[in-house]
Amino acid sequence: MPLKHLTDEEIQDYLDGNLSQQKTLLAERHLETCPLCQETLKQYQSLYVGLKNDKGFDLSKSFAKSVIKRLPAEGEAESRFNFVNIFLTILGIIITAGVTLYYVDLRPLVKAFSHVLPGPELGSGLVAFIKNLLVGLNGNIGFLIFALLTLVIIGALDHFVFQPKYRRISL
Amino acid sequence: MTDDKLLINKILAGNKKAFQSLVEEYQRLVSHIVFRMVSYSVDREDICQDVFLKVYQNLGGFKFESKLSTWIAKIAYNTCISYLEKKRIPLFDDLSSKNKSLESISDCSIRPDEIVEGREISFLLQTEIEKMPVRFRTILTLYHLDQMSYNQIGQTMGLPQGTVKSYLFRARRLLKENLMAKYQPEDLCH
Repeated sequence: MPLKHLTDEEIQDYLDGNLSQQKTLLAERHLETCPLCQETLKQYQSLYVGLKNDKGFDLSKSFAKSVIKRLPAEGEAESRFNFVNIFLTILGIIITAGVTLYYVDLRPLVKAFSHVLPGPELGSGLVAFIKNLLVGLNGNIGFLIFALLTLVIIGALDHFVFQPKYRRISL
Repeated sequence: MTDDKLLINKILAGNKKAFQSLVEEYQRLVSHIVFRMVSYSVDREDICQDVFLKVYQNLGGFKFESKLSTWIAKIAYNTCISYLEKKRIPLFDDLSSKNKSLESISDCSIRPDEIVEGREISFLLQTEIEKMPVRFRTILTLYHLDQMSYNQIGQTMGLPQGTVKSYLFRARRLLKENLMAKYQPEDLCH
């Protein structure tokens, strides 16, 4: 290094204190005898001083109070979030039920359900209910696929649309 | 328990005075980032307020995996990025054409040590920084003004440490070259 001029990176590393002890000694030895590198060093030193002495930017004196005024009332943010969740859940249930009623013949289901309710033997009634349901669907599993798709869409929306907004700022 | 932990526990318990203390402690850091990243905008103080509102809303999720200052700086940085993207302001310009070697300008008549003296000089420095790409000026500010390490800057800006170091070197060289190329001694001696 003593024979070769210091690069900009080496000079900056020297000023940042990032050079090893050996490299620092070599750099200092070179700087003692090289007017060109001394000049560059002075330029960077001045730049460092200027950047460090930057006064920054002033916010208004009442800034902190303005922020406090904008804070939601206690529990407001949480309750607003819950309200949105409840609203979306109810809306989802209504839409799903509406579409199901429109496309799926639920008469066998209702019939099976009516068998379950009055009977004292709930266990056997439930088995009969499931059997009737499967028979009623006649192998048509469109209803189940529809329910599954609804769940996947809701999950995808939650993962890609609603959650990223909150994930973004967490470290 | 550290001071930050105590402060956060108070805030999470609903103590707004404690949050005001947090704002007062970190408003300088946030203003540095916001004012440096968002140039010439009347929205800047509003953006600073938005940053602290996000801090308040997400404080419960802070896991002390980094310094509180780094976490707040990251929120400020991301808020500014969102703002700039919304306004379609480019985040990084191609500087390859501007990367002249130091030797090509070393015979210029003005030196930064002559430049960086006095109030006007500070203004000139600010003017030149404002002309730099957003990431360059942000890194310069975080390193020199807020005394952040490469690691902290990397966490704040989502960049590897090597990239941070490289951007910092290039930013300082570019700034020095621009100052030397544009200003004459008589411009600076008022």
